[in-house]
Amino acid sequence: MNPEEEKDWMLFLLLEGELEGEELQKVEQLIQENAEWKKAWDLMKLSVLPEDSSIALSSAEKSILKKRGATILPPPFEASWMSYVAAASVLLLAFWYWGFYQTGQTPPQVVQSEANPLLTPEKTAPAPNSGTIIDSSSTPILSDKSNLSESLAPPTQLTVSTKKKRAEENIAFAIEAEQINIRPLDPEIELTPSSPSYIMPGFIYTKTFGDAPTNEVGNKKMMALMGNATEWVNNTRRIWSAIQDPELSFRRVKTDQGPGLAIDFNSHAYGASAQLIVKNDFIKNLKMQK
Amino acid sequence: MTVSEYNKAVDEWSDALLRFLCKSTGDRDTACDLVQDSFESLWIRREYVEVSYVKSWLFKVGYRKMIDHIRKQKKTTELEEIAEIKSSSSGSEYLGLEDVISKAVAGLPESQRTAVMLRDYEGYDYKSIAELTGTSESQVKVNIFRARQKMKQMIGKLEIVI
Repeated sequence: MNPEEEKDWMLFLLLEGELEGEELQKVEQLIQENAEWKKAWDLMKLSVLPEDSSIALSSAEKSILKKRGATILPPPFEASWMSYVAAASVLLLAFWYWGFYQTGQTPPQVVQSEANPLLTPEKTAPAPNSGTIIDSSSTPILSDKSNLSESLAPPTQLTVSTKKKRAEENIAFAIEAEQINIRPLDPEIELTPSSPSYIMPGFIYTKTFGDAPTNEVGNKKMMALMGNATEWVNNTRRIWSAIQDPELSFRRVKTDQGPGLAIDFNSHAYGASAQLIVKNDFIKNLKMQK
Repeated sequence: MTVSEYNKAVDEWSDALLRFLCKSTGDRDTACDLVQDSFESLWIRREYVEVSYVKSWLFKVGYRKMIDHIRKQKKTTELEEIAEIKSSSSGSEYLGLEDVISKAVAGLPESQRTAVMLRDYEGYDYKSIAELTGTSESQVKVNIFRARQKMKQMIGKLEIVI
């Protein structure tokens, strides 16, 4: 070290509070007695970064970072909310299967990619019937149950897609069920085996991250949609038992087929999304029947 | 970590993380993205992160994401070059002390800049900075010394400050 650098080093140690005893006294004396040391010390002190509160997130930006589960629902309600969502989801899958059972059709088979499942874009099973989609919030349309029974076709199609959600470590493993039966929100309509099928396209996916065994997690999820009704319910129960801090949100959607309501469910390991859509041609048919 | 603990972490540490990343990258939008990514990682990993270590965990993740981002963008040299140009052209214009310090910090090599910011803004000791940046304590100390030395020289060039 040259003398200048040695001076800086001693002043640095003084600034960092690392000088003690004789060394500390010596440096302090030099600062008091020597103008050059005094000037260097004044400059060294200025090298400490001043507090800067000018850079901050706005409250809106912070609210985006926050998780809504805690802000919308107070903690005591979280457990019951979880139960509600879990129960609803089990019912959703059970009703889906029930639709096949009632119509005597074979339940859809999951189409599994033989290639790397994480990189295969999409595979679709054949669809014998197209099915009609109805928005549960459209009470006037749902008033005529007999018309609905005739109009609504059973669910027949299941699409499996696997996709890489992000370029980073998070990978979404998606299973899409084009049509899932779901109970309408209209309280006047009872869901019985003879009730019309309400069709709901949706998907369930798993998120894998870090060191998690990606394929294993993905396969577990796929199992939930295969097998008989009992297996479905059991698998679904297993999935929901692993769910923590679920969030459920609703949004309006406009599709080419018609207006609808989208339901998004998200949690730590699993997520689901679905849309209830009033098909334009369905509305037209009902009007013509009336 | 519960949802409320996570949200509390957002309130407590998001500004500090943004400031650190903003000063490191020189771009607020990029810093905001990195902050969001960091908190998203925290949310995903919340079961494994103890509340008492949230701050250092966030800074560690944020720092790594920032390094990845800089490498991807190949901005390491560019940022330093830009800062170099800015600092060299600052002689003819009036600058306050804060401006000088900001420019001086921006002109530091990434390792020195990170070390001195974590030291001064966040009050981390050498050991914590070493763990966070994946270097040794002695290297952190040298980095901070070099950073202060360069800043001292830059500030010293401005008579107005003295």
